[in-house]
Amino acid sequence: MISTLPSLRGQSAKDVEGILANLTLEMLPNPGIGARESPLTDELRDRLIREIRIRLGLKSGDNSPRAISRIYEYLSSEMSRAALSEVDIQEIKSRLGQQGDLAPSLYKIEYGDTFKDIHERRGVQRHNVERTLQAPDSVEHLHPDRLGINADKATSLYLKEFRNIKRPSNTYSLLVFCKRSGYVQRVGQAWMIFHSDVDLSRAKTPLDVLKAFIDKYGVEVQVGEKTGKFFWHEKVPLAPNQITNFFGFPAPDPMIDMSACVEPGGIIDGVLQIVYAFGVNHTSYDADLLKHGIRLKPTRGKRPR
Amino acid sequence: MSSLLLYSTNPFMKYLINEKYRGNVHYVWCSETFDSGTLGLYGSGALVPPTSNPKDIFVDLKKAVDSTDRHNAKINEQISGLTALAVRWEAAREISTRAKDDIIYMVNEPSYFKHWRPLLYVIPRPLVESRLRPVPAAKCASLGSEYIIEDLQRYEFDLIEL
Repeated sequence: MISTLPSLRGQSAKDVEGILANLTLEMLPNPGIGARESPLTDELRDRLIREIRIRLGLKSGDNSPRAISRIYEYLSSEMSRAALSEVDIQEIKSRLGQQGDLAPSLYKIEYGDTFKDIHERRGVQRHNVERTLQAPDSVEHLHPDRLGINADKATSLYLKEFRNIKRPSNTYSLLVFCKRSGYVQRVGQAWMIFHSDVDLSRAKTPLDVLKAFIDKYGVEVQVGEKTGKFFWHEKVPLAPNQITNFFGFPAPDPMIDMSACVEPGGIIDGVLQIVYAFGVNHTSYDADLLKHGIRLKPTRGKRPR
Repeated sequence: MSSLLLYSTNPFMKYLINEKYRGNVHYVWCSETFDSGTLGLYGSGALVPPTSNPKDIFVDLKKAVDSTDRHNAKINEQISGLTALAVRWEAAREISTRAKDDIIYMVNEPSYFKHWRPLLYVIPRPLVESRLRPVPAAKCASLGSEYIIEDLQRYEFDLIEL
């Protein structure tokens, strides 16, 4: 049953939403500019309001702000129920999620191998990742479509500070890399960045925090012909009919444990688009984590990276 | 003498919907003062009551969102108003059925509650003077000056979030 109001019984969802929308717009404060159309008859309008008041247990003369507010609450709930009665809510969530307009708590969170193999082993807890995604201090949505990358690969950076009042040197910010696909967020990298180790005084955005982190723990990487610690929206021309090594470590040190973080995008006019590329010196990072009491956990049956 | 600036308080949700689904054109109800309480007792702006005073609306919305008061009267009014408008816009073919569904889902889903936080629009009057429509005194909540702008463009106002 679309509506339980006697006057609307048997009506289609479309009719119910239309009638209740008209009733709502008639009730709202009217600036009195121009003629307001009134498709409802006085008789139907009065009957509906009477039925709603009975449903809510409100006296007929009760026009207190609280009573009116409850009527509005009831109307929006009934309109929403009718309008969305035959709609797939997951589809709406997917659409809004892909646009970056879904409320943070409505995303479904999944954890990728990068998170399990690298970051969970380094003390990043899932409930803290979830807190970061659901109530971030700041978020930066990367827009891969501008780099010729399918929107399915949209990455967002989420940042949240975890303050430690008893031991201020253990205060850190968690920087989480997430790929959005519809209403699913797949967690990849998640770096604990301790404020006592990395200077974040000039960092205003999640990207600034990432740059400060790489400034401290980054290793030189090669992207195309260039070398550097951090690449952002880089372009690598591809030679026709040849294999191009678009990413690597120019001077790998066997004494240093390091990992590569690179997100290649699409190829536009023979040029490979790179969203970001950097390398992390885990030997140095892990030594700092140890100062904060975080010890590297064993791998899940794989060689430590 | 008329003021150089006009003020309007609106929830972020309303701003977002106008931006995304209405071509960034905003329908606003505005006043000549941000806080009528700071004016002299006999100034016309001092006659704007709390229900229309931008500062009071701002404080009311902020308090409700900060304390997660899901029964706030102003927010309930906005939820039902935007839901009804989405139905009407779709019926008039001004938005698609998908857009209507998305709007109705967002405004009614409790997880979006923080989206009801207030934004203050500061509108330089000369930009909109010719399109100001005074609210007839009989329809005003007060004797102070209130106006409607039906097609406020994004470049015509500044946004303040406190």
